[in-house]
Parts: sequence; C-alpha cells; structure tokens
Amino acid sequence: MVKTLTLGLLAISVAVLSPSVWRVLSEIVLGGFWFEFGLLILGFASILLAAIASRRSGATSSTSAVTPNALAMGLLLAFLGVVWGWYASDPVWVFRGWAVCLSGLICLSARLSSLTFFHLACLAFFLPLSLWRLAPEIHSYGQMIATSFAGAMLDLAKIFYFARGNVIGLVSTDFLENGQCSGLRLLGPALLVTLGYSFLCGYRSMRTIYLALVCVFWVLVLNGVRIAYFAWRQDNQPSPLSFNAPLADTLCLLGILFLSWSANQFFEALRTKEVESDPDQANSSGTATKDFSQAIYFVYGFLIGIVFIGSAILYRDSTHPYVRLSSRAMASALEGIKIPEEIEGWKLTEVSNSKESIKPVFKHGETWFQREWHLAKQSDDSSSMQLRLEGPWSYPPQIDWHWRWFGWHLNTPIVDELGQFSWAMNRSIVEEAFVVSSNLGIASSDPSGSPVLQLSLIQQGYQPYSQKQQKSQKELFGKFRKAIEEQIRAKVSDGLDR
Amino acid sequence: MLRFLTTIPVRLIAWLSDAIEKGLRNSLRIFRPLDTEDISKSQDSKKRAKTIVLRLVQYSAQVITYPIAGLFYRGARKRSYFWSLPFVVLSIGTFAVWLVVGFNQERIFNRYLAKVQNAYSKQKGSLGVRYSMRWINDQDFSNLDRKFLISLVQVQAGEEKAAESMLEHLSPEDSTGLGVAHFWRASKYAAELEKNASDTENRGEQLERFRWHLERSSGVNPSQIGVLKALEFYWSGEESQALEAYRALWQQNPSESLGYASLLKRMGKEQERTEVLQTSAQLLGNLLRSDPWNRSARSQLAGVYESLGEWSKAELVFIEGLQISRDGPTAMAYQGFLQRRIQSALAEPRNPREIAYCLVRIARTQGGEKSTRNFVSESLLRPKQELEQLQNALNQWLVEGLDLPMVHLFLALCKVVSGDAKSGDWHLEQAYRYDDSIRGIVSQLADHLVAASAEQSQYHERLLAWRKSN
Repeated sequence: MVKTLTLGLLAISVAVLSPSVWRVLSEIVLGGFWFEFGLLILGFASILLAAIASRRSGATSSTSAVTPNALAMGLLLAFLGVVWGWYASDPVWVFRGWAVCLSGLICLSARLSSLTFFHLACLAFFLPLSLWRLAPEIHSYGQMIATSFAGAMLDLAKIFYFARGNVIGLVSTDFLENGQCSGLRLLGPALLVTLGYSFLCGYRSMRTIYLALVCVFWVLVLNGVRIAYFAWRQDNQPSPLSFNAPLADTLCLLGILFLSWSANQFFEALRTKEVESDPDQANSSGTATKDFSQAIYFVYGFLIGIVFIGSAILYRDSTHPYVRLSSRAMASALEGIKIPEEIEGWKLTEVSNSKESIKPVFKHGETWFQREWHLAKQSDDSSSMQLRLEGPWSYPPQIDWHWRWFGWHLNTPIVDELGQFSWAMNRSIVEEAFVVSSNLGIASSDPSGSPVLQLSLIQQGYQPYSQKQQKSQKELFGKFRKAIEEQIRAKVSDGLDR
Repeated sequence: MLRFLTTIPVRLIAWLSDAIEKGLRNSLRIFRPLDTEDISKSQDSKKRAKTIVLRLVQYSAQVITYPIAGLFYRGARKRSYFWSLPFVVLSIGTFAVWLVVGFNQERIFNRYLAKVQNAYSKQKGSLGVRYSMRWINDQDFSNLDRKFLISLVQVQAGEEKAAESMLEHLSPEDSTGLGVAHFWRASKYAAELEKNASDTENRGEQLERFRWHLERSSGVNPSQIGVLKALEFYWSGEESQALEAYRALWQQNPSESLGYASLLKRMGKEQERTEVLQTSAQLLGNLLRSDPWNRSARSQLAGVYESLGEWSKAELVFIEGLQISRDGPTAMAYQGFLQRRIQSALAEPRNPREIAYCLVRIARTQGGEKSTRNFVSESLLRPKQELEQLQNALNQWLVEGLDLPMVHLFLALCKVVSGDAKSGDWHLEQAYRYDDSIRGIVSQLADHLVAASAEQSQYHERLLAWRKSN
C-alpha cells in the first residue's frame, strides 16, 4: 500500500513537472545547444547503464530496495530544486527536480538499491551543467585559479605579464588573452565522464567525490597550462610544438581524463591491504531494510510539495508564456541592429576590437553577439563613454559579471523603477567607472519572458563620477535602450517560434 | 659483485622507507588501546575520535612514504602504483610551481619594479605602466614610494589624469601620505587659488586644504616649500611677511626671482620688481658663465629677460644653449620661447617689427608646420595698413641682413596679398636664389593662405590666381 502510494505520488510529480522539462528540451534544441544535448544523452545513457549494471549485479531482491531514508534525502534535493526553479523562474532547476523524481520512480519500480538511487539522482541533478545560472560564478572562480596558475608558470618562464581580474595580459605586446581566459573549458564533459565512470564502476560516494575533486583540479591546472601556452606563443617565444585551439581542447580533455584515471589508480594503490574483492564496489545488500518509519512521511511531504509547486509553475506558465526563439531568428534579429550615429551631441563610432570583451565559454547558445561603440562629445574631447550590447542569455547572469571578470571592484548595483541597474566601480587604485546596464527582452518587454541582451553604458576615467554625471548618463542610457529595444522587436516579430 | 653494488642505493631507500613506515605505525600504538574494528562499532565518542585520528595519521604516513614504498608493492597494486605516477608527479609539480612562485613573490615583484624603473629612465612610460600593473594591487609590495613611481611613469605615458589621481591617492586629506604628493597637491591648490582669486565663496575652504597639504609637504627642495609658505602669507593678508619670506628665498637662490617678481607685481611694486629681475639677470648670467651646461640657470635667465621684455637677450641665451647641446629638450624650450614671443608680438597694440622677426625665425626653425602656418595667416591676412607696416618691418630686417631668403619669402607673400604679384614674384625669385630648399615651405604656406583667406574674397582671389600661376 505504502509503496503503491509512493509510486503514484512520484508518477504525479513526474507528470506535473514534465512541461518544464519540455521547455528546457525545446530551448536546448532551438538555441542550438547541441553540445548540451549531447551531454544530456550521455547523462541519460550513464543513468541507464548504472541502472542496468546495478540490476545485473543482483541487487534487486526485496531486501535491497531503496529505503525511505534514501528516498527522503533524494526527494528533499528534488524539492529544493523545484522550489528554487519556481522562485527564480528557472526551468533548468525544475528539470533537475523532475530527473530526481524519475530516478526514484525507476528505482522503486525496478527494486534497485539506495546506492543506485543515489547514483541516478546525482547524475540527473548534474545533467545540464552548462545551463546553470551559477555558471558565471563557477567559471569566474575557476578561471581565477587557472589564471593564477598560468601566471605562476609565466613567472617561472620569466615572461612579463599583468592581470586584469581573470584575464592575463602581456606586457610586451599589451595584449589581453581574452580568448583563452573566457571561462573554464571542458569542465562539463570532463566531470560528467568522470562521474559516469565512477558510477559505472560502482564506487562508493567518498571515492566518487574524490574523483570529481581530482577531475576539477586537473581541469583548473590544464586550463592554466593552456593559457600559459598561448601567452607564451603570443610573446613570440620559440615553441617546439604548435597547437591550434581545437587540438589544444582535445589534448586537454584527454589529459584531464588520463590524470583523473591515474588519480583513481593512486587511490587503488593506497589501500593498505591487497584484497581480492573490491570494498569500493557498490553492494548495498543487507543495508536496506523495510524501514517504513517516519521517513516515509517526509517522502510524502516532499512529493506533495513538489506536486503543489509544479502545479503553481504550470499555472504561471499558462498565464505568462515564455517566448522561445530559434537561433536563426535570434541571429537575424541581432545582426540588423543599427545605432544612431549621433545622440544629443554624442557621436558614436563602432569599436571593432574592444580590449575588454570576451566570448564566454558558458554562453547560452551557439549565437553570440557582442558590439561596442565609442561615444565622444563633439564639444568636449575629455568626455567619452562606451556602449556595449551583448548576449543573448536564456537566463541572464548577474548583471555585473563582466566587470567582475575583468577585476573591477564594484559597489552594490542599484536598480531604479525602470529596471535599470547602475553602479560605481574602481580598479588599480586610480581607475574609476560608472555603469548603467539593463537586460533587454529580445521578444517581449518582460526580460523574464524571453531571451535577453545586456545593454550597458560605461563611463570610465580617473575620478569618481558626480551625481549629476550619473544622472545624465542614466538618461542617455534610457534613450539608447528605447531605440534598440524597438529595433529588436521589429526584427524579431516575424521570426518568433512561440 | 658489481651488480650488487648498483642495487645498494635502491635498497637503502627501500630500508629507509620501510623504517619510516614502521616507525610511524609503531609510534601510533599509543593511539590504539583497543582494536579499531571494535572501536568503530563502539558508541564511545572518545574512542571513535581516536580511531579517526589514528586512521588519518596512518593514511598520511602512507601518502608520505608512497613514492618509495610503492616500488615494493606486488601484483595489481604495483600496476596501479605505476599508472598513478603521472598523477603523483604532476600533482607535486603543480604544487611545487605554486609554492616556488608564492615563496618568491617579492623577488618576482622586484623584477617588475626594476623593469618599471628602467622604463622610466628610458622614457618608455606606457611600458612602465604595464609593468607596474603586475604589483599595483599588492598591498604589501605597493608602498607609497612605489606608487609615486607609478605616477611618474603615468605622466611619461601621457596619462596625466591617472597620475593626478594617483597623487591624490598618495596625499589623502584625512591621514598621512607621501610628502612629495602633499607638495604636489598644495601646488595644485595654490594654482587654483591664483586662478580663482575672485571666488571668495570657496576661497576659505581651498586655503584650508592648501595649508593641510603644505604642512605635510616634504621630499622636495626646501626653497620650493618656502615659496608656497610665502604665498600662504600673501593669501592670508600678511603681505610684509610674504615679501620677507620671498626675499629671503630669493637671496638664497636667485632662480626664485620670477616668483618674487610676480609677487611684487601683484603688490604694485613695479620698480622693486625691475630691480629684482635685473639683479637676478646679473647673478644668473654669472652663474651661467661659470657653468654653461646648467640648463636650469639658462632657462631661468631666459625667463628673467622675458619678464623684462628683453626678447633678443632671451633668445641669445637660448641660442647659446642650442650651440652647447642640440637635443630635444633644448629645441623644445626654444620653440616654446618663440611661441611666447609670437603671442607677445600679436597682442594689441601689435608690434610689426617683432611679428616680422618671429615670422622669419619660426619658418626657419619649424618649416611649414601647423603652428607656422597659423601664425603666417594670422599675420598676413590683415587690413591694408597693418600689411604695409609689416612690409616696412620686413624691409628693415632685409637691410639689417636677417635670414635673407626667409625675409624675401615673407615679402613676396605680403606683396601678393596686397595685390602686387609682380613684386611678389621678384622677391620669391630672390628667396630661391639664396636658398632653393625653401620651395616646400613656400608651397605649404601658399596653400594654407589660399584656404585661410576663403572669407576674405579680395585676398583669396589674388592668392588663388598667384598660386595657379606658380
């Protein structure tokens, strides 16, 4: 009776959350996230293989079924994911919650063990890693470590460099390695392959965590090596080997996987006794009991909560539909944007090679659009600004991520009634800047209802900007925002794929 | 026998490794009052904690001895050991890189600092700025003196605003900073007080700030601080003290004559000012005769002559300087002098003789550059009466034998503008006869005059027709 009820609730949860899953999947396909799609398939394949391996190992008797405690822990994770997805309007988190519920359903109906459920839930929860809203934060910290390691190697090689936040610049050429320092490459695939390998081998959680940590460590180190190598080449130093970016990517991935596997061998060799049977192999028979204790009430509680919030999400999505765009429609809308040549005495000139601009590794789709204009006041040579437009983001990251990436120290952004963020920032003792920025919904005026572009107006100099200057900058920004928004809407209206 | 000897080092390492591992294990007996298996099942938290510590120490011992002990593993474990070597070696290498760089951070920064100093001495400011960006944010390394060096390279790199901002950072208004920076800030406030003499509203506040920085100024020649102190007396209304302080400074150092003279002028003591300048000219002249390479004294002397309105003497001082060293700064100083002389000549009432002289000198020293072209159009495209006065002045210089080709050239241009193209051609011919290399300058000046006279139709037509015919 208890099992049937649990299965029923799990099935309802999976069904209620399915529209969000469909939304994520369609976004992946329409946005051209083919790499993420591959990851998804790889992840599901790992889940299936783990489940099959677990069944074939014989852990399917009634005594080895998933316990209410394990189920409660997993469903707590799912519940938190769904709550966060509902709060942040991020279907990717709902997707994760759904995947954990699905894992529970599979494990309970196929009588798989708690450990298998744990493996499946973990894989499901980590599936679309690169779509995380937290990606800029993760990549930012990771890039900081990789860049510092690259800097250490350049120091040993006596190549003079300077750092602009996460980006390395060469003293000799005044060149910023924006291309190489645009995020941690190969973090997603390497981590997924490593976790998949660990689960397939049936390792215990400690060993899996160890392998994941080692994998992340080598991702950081090899990204640092890669940056140092390209900086070395840029500095016109002699190099016996020559790699282009794709070859470097391939070698790095192979290197990360090999070194993670080598670390696994280290773990293997470190065990004090030479044993015939592997204690790390998953075998939880005997540990599972039919303990339908109080934990089952938690399971019910979480499941009812998931169903309730899933219904709320369903209701919200039916009243505020999210507009999706195909990557082609997005690209055509963005290519045709024209900025007026002059606004209120400010003359605009497009900058072809902006010094501080990156194409982030964690971008949301194959299309990446970045344009920058230099604004100069005709009557006053000393005044200048930059107008930046970049995106698209399916779910906008923190509005100030770009400047933190380049080492600016920011005051807390203030948001006004028009949804415009503004903040002052400084760097290297003397550099001062003031930024007004906003997310523009590409297909609708509501930035939470469609992919967005980030528009920013930056004033940079060596003195803090007065209230008056800040106010006039905000007003000017409002005009640009209006002009660009109207253009994008007009272009997009035909290419919508609702 | 020999083969046995070759294995001795390996055996020694193996024995040592075994000894370390056994020693560590034996030493851990104190942690093992009970069997660990029993303890792990025990509910006693103290015993469990002991077991955890024991295991941690055991693992640590294993990890420490791993590189050597692994050589003596057997079977699958040995295979794992060999495959783990890339991970172990590269991990150690990675941490070693971090440690080496971390422990040598100051040494590395010193390397960058030396590069900044080198770039500064070679006048490569932008390179110096890039080198300094490596350590600018390091709070331990980037002390006040080093930040001051950054401001110097920023000035060299043409980033004056950045340098100003850095100096402001070094001279805070609520705490101690760097004496030189405070002096710079005090000088800045002094300049603002001079400029905004009529702004009574903010004057009190500016004066307070000026005093704050002046009190903390150091690291420069005491006479420079003395000048600011004298000005402080003056702005505080204590004129006699200001004069006394300045006079004392001037008597110690005649190069302060210009500032002293300026103060006297402001107080309306014109005669005393002239006396001070004349005395200073004499003193500086003596100094220069004993030390002709003293650039500062030369510049001061020329400045004194300029203040006295004796342009010819000032020019002579510059030309002597150019004969001693024909380098960039000397040439720049002379160009600056010419510009000031031109401004003085063009100021109403105009001085045609001075204008004619400056035209000849600037065309000779700077060719057909923008400053020359602007000055020529400003001098020649004038009413008829002024043009005639300029022609007379040029004729006078012709008689006195000043740079004949250039004088003929400007006479030619004057003639063309005034409508006598035939005489103009004759003068031009004479100019070419003396110096054929001035053809390029003629072409540049003529083109500029044609363009600049667009709004003066009569001159424009004459110049255009003459330009076409030549």
